[in-house]
Amino acid sequence: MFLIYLKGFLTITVSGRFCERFINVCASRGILLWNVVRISDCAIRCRISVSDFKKISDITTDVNVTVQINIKHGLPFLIQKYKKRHVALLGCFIFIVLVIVSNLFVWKIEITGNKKIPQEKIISVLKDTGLKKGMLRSKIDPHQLQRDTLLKLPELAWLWVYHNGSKVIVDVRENIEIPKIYNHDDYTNIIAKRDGIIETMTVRGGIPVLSEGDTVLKDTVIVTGKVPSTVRQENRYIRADAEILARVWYEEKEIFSGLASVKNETGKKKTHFTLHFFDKDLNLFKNKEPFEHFLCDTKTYSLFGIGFTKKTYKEVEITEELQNLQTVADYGITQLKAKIESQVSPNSLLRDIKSSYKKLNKTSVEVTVIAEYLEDIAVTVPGVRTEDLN
Amino acid sequence: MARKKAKRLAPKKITKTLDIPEDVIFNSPRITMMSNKELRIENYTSILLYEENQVSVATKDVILSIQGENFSIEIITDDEFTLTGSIVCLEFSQSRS
Repeated sequence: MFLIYLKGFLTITVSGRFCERFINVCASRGILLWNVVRISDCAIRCRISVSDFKKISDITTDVNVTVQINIKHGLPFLIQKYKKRHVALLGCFIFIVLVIVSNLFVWKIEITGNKKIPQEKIISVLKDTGLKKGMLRSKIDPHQLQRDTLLKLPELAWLWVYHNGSKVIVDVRENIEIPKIYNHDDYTNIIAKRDGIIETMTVRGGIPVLSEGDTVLKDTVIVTGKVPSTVRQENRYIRADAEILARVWYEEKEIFSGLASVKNETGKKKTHFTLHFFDKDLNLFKNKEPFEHFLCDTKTYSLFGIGFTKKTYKEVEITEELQNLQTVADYGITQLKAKIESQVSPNSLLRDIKSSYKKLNKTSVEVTVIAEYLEDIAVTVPGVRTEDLN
Repeated sequence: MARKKAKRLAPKKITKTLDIPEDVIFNSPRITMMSNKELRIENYTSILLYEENQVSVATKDVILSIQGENFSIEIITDDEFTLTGSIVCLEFSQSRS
């Protein structure tokens, strides 16, 4: 069908008493007809290629039918239609040239693989080493970029640059933190990270000073690396190693106000535009914000490194409203629970959590949250030998 | 008489022995249908009648009359054509030749 479209075909109406004869004669002479539909007693509509149409003039005379062209389909007719539209053709040509030329430049740099190092830091180092928006793609040297960037960013273990069209992708791998290596003869003790009640102790090295069920205060020695020798008079010093799971409690108390600031829009609006040309910004307005209190909605549009940012400022009026104190207390409990969770180590197990609140006055509540966790409180610290003290 | 009969049956015997399709040797019409929506005829002679509800086709041995609704010829060449529409019945009648 695509080939027929390239060559062109016509939808024609054949009118006459002997349309069947017309079909038979065309078929016998090798003239291909398709989509033949009877439209009335004396007429049929069908499609025929342009080259075959030129052959049917004598058939129509012999068979005594008339042919009328309804629709012309295909590329030749399209070309004829747009042949006189020089400016449109020039525009298409310029567009194609612009797309090809713009594809030669770098318009977007994407960083993948980074978890701790911020993207902006990597991009700024890449700019110094020779990779930035708007440069020619052919000038990118991945080996040189890799060498120079890894020298300037020691946190990276590996880096590679490859491009996908006008987008450059920089794939990085960060260095894994080297674990602390202890000497076999190092003398260390295990102390408690915080107060608690020891539930289980797994001692892999050293002598336990406390046992399961004991209450321990912060910084108290739980396992010592000083081993008294029964054979010789002097003590032996080793590295203490243990896992101490203890019940610990976290408490947070805070006062929350019931007066909430509510922002109501006044209806006044102002729009500011900032133009971007690659990495350069041009503010069309002074940086000053138009209202004292406002909500700002920012949208950025860009294509091939050129674009603009539209900031819509909506003026708001701030009023204070008294909230339901129960709602404030619930909000406070949620906030304090999140605060406690941020302090707890990742492998801890939550055992119990109790929350309460007390109304201080009409506008504020005091919220208290106490959480019990089962946590590993072991911390390894270097010990001081008795001989060194003397 | 016997010789005439043998002469008439010889081509059939040959095609059966050599396993050649009969429509290739004898130019018999081959009719292929897909449900009642599409009908394809190979080795037809001419179209006798073409209307929206009835199509009559002449072949070497028989005249095939197709009745139904909304007929349209999808494609037609010198020895085959494809008819689409809603086919209700097919009727075979002996051709005069």
